[in-house]
Amino acid sequence: MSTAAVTNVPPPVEREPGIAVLDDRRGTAGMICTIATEGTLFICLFFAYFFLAKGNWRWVAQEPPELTLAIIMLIVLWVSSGVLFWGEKQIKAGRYGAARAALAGTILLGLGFLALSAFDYKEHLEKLTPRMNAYGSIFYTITTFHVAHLIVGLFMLFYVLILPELEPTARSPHRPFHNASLYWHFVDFVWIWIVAFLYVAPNIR
Amino acid sequence: MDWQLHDTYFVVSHLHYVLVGTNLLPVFAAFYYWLPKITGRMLDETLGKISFWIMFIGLNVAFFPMHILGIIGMPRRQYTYPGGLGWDSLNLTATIGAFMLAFGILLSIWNFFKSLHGPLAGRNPWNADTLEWDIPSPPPPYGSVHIPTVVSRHPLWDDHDEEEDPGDKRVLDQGRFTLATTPLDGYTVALARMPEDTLMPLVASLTITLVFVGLLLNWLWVALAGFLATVVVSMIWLWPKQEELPA
Repeated sequence: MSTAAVTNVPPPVEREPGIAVLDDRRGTAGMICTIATEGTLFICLFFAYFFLAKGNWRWVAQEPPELTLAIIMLIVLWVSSGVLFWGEKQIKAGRYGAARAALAGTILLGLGFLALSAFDYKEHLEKLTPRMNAYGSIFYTITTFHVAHLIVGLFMLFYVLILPELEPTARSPHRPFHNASLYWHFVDFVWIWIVAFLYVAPNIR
Repeated sequence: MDWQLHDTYFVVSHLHYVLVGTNLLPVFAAFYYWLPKITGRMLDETLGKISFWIMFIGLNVAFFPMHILGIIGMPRRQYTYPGGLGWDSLNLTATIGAFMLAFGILLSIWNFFKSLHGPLAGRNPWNADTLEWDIPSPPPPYGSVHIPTVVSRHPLWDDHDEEEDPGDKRVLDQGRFTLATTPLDGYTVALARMPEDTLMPLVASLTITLVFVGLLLNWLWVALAGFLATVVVSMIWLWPKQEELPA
């Protein structure tokens, strides 16, 4: 290895760090990574669903799942996402009370979704159990994973609800409302695909 | 050719020849290069050279004959074979090579334990050019007080002092702030808050362990308790701290 000093190097540009701007996008970057990871999980689960369905004669014999409740649950989640989106607009306008009310409303709608999915499971379990066949196994795996993510999202929203101050804040976490709502919209988005693949598609086949 | 070699020892040989030569040997090279930085002690150079040559000869003696074994028809994924098929002497050669390779690896492991009482490495025993060699060995926590400014691809070989910072403008630890820079040009754009000292990540990892142990043993109440504990610990961990921005 050469020990000769490398010369003819320009000196670095001195820049004042400046205190003005806080890097408040790190949490959002982390949340986007989390969503990418969890999104990949659901892509793999959907792949498993179609992979198991391919050439499986028992799959065709399966009665397609009931649609009505799933559509109602979809509307509940859409409304909850809308309420949360409205809440974020209130924050930008400085109306923090309205933003917290929107959070509370979203949490209530999420709890409503949980109650509805309990009914949905009760209905399904009469005809189909997780241990019955590959279809039952993957159906309950996907829907339960979604419910688990929804519960995690509810805890996130609850945490933001009880925070002493919402964004923008000089302290960390900088954008708790924005990050938690990103996750909530993701959970909502996944449910759209579950309804499309697991509920609607078998009914129109 | 593909059908001739399919599922034979040629495949075993090729995989191991490539992986040991291109992956295992560089891992040992990195071990000799960076261990002085990690432990602060030098490994024995002579022993290292002996270990290298024994490993190098051993891997050739072990894996080269397997190519021939594959070509003359020895199948892979079989733990044994009948004698008298013309494979015996080549297999014996490969066995001798495998023991040589193992002995060479053992020499390096012995070298590691020997080095724990060996000569001190100092900051930069190799006169290397990259930044990790600019701090003591083993590196202390928060190794660089000032954020180094790098102006060439060989920062320790150029005339510029990376830690030169008379106005203390690039001190890292003040209020746990550091500089956020643009990814390509490295221009300072914002202040970023660094994580503070806290036990909460450790506690969270323990409660998450509780969740999965509960799920594995089908103790659902334990899993639920672990989950709720994880939620509480995460909230405490992420709760805003009552600290002020530095002026």
